[in-house]
Amino acid sequence: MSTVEITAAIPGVFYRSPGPGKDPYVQEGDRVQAGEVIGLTEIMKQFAEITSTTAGVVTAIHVANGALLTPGMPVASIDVED
Amino acid sequence: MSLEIEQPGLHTTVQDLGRPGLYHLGIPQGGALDRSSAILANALVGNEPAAALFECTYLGPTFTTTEPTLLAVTGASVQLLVNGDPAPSWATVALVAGDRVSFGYVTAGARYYLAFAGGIDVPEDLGSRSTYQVGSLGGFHNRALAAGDDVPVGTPSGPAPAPGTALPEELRPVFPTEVDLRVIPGLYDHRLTEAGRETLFSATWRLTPVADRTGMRFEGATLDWRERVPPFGAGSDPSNIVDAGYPVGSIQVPNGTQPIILHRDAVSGGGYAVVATVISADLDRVAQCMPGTNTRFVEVDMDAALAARRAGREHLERSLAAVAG
Repeated sequence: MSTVEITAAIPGVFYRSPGPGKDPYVQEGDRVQAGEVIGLTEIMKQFAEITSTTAGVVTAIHVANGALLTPGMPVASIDVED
Repeated sequence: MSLEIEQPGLHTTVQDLGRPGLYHLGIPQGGALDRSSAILANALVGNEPAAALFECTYLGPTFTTTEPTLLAVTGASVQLLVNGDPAPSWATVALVAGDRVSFGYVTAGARYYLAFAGGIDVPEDLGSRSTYQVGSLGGFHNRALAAGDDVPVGTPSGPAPAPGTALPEELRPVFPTEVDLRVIPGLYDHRLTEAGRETLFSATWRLTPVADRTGMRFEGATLDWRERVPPFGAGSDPSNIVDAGYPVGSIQVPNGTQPIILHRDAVSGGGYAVVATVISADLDRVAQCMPGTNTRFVEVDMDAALAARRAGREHLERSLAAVAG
């Protein structure tokens, strides 16, 4: 088992769900595929998807909904079965 | 020679030094938001200052060259990668045909510039290649780059610095997360109460993610406006005025809560009171503020603003001389 950190590529406001009142993209304990959306970054009046770089199980979301991301900041941890 | 765009980045546009002289018709000058960085990138590849180049915002493109060229990356701090290997910024980098160029994360600043020997060769609109998306002018098909684009680069016309030439460290700008911006008050600061005016210059304003080539929105305090019966033609918000011109760098505060600095792609006029204007010498600094930057507006007079402009020009001249060898 190894852990992969998903990091923010761009600054902006982090959202865990696709819209107000909608379910989060992922929760801790969820299984995700590579390329699956785990959150959104709002910047310059546009929304960019944050996607998982690997398949595995989400063990932690490090950023609160609505918090400000800076580039390189860890967003989520994914456990990968070797 | 062309650049085959694999990934466009967040918002990569073709810019030059803009199309001045049309602001009175509502067409902004536009051009590279951080002009000094753009001019230095061009100098490092032997281009004229006004040659067209890429302006990358936060996240840069991934692309492949079809022929040998020179590349220089300036502006925000970011790791340049050529075929996955680190290469220097603020330096002349030789590329061969088939080189794949990509970038790491921005670690300071917001915008970086990629100049290529010969310049980006897109058609001019109204005398400039700058992308002005709102007006569908200039750039690569009047828009930001997209995956699959094949962007033409012109033929170099003169000598260029030798590969490895670099701008000395001490001449490079730094991009702190705490920034003082020098402003000249007015023309409508008299619409603020004394307390409101005091708050404008004493508060620490934090840049929000609503920050693009048109304007940068800050938050952090509330300004009080003098009460009055709105004159005919002004709106009902206390920050509304009968329409007036907006200087580049002007600060408006809709609702008194969120100052917006208008930048090079902004409209030329409107109905919000301009409480102050960022001096021209500090506009490049505004361009490089990342969301979350803590900002103070420092009041200066016109003499100080002109002295700062002269100092900025002298610094740029020294920098250009340093890369010319």
